[in-house]
Amino acid sequence: MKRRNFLKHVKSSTIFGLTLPLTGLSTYSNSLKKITILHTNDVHSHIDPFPENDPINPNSGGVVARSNLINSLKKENPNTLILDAGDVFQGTPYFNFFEGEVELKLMSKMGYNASTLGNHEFDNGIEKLAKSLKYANFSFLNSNYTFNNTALENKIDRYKIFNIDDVKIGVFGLGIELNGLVEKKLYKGINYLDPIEISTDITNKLKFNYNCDLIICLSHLGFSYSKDKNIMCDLLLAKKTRNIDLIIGGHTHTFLKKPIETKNLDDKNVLINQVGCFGINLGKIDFYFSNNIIEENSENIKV
Amino acid sequence: MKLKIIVLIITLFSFSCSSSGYTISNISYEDNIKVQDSIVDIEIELIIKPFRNKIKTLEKTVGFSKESYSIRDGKLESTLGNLIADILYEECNPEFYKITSNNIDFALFNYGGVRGTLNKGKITQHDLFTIMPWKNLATVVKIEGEKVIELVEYFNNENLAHPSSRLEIEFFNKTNKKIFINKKKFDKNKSYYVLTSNFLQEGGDKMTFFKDPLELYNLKLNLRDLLIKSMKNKNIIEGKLDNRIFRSE
Repeated sequence: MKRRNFLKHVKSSTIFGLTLPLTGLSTYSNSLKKITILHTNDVHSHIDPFPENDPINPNSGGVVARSNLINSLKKENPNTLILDAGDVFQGTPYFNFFEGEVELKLMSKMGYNASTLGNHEFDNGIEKLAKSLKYANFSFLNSNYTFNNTALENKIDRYKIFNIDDVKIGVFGLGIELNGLVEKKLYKGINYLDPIEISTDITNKLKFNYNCDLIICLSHLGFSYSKDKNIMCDLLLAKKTRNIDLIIGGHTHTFLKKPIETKNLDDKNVLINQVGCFGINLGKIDFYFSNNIIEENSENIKV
Repeated sequence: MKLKIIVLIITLFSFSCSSSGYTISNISYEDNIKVQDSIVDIEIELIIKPFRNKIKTLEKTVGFSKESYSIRDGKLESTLGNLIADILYEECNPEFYKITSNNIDFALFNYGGVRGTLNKGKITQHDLFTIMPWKNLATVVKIEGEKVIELVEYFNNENLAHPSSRLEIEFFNKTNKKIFINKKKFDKNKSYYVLTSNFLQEGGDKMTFFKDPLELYNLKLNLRDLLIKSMKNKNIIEGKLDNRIFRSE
């Protein structure tokens, strides 16, 4: 049996001096709203499962198995958001031949709510990427690239706010510096902006202007880089920003066993997760929300 | 006008009551879930099927692999990287000779450019699309000896099995090394012809030493097509680790 982790979110600066209620978790849970986040990254056009003679991942992955899994988890909790952290494209002939149509149609069918742009989304250039987006009924989010005067102008949202069971979830996207990863002519006109500055602006907006209850960053920056700890990555992003609750990462194909917990600038918890690549694994995180008014009326204990 | 005022009041009210939202009280998660089952999802299958049928032509066998080869089975070299770099060198050198009457001295590609594994048994075009999905073209650069030293340092710092052919490096420790190019001792006063891809030549994967070469030739040959062509001719494919790049410390 898998170990279940409960991470108690201790509020260091609670609004109106509220603290966690005394009531036991089981009865308390009844009044909580549960939002499930399911996520993938770096699926790289792996539509079909790995063959049975694959030495590392025989019979793993594949859209059919992923769709079944998503459907059954959604039945458990309909209040679910399905997210992806980029590099949807490139890796099998499905992309070479159909240029993104298959991947995006299938993600739409599976009910994905948002993805972000990985570097490989640009492998056929900006124009073809823009054209392929018509097959997606979900948003691609990016807030640190400029798209002015490119075919992607007005086709990429900086962030999106989802209202699920009355809980407001702000999701934004961050992309990696394309220079050195993508041929220049394929991303001509796009400029890369500093992820930390952008995140600071966006999360302030999401948290204080739009009152989001949960803030999620879809990042294609990479988990971390052993050769140089100063290269921009999810660990640095978490450490140097405020207000992000969860970073769903990609790019480095990091197979985390489960999400890791780290601290932000305010010493508050940030979760980071990444599920490797090729659709072999799916991430699942459940957030439980309490209504601030209910809390006010409940018996409190200092944590 | 009245409506506007009402909207404004409501907005102000909702801003001042930001506390009426929700607060995360618990987060729970388990290990990331393995995606693996065989129940057929008809609706999903119906979407995939027409596309899958169109790429069925790629299931034709192009050769046989003696064993399973991976890019991750060595330290600074790999069986799959060695066999790919050797094939690409062998395919491109005669083409380059036709144009310039010169031979290519050595070849270097990047670790990230080789995906997946070559499985034992029959090899299909589909497999090669998965191993090398890119549109990259064979490119030859002429670079100074100094740039070759930068290239060797890149190998040393990256510590990855970047596929190479006709390049031999023995790293004794952080600073000392022995370099041979096409069986001859490296001479830093000489210039060398290096086979790579157009992506890497433009500075991809931070291979900046290829960026402003003395001479530049685009052979206009897709790297994957070259692999397919060679495998069709060879029939049985074999890869080996031969300590072409290694640390003896």
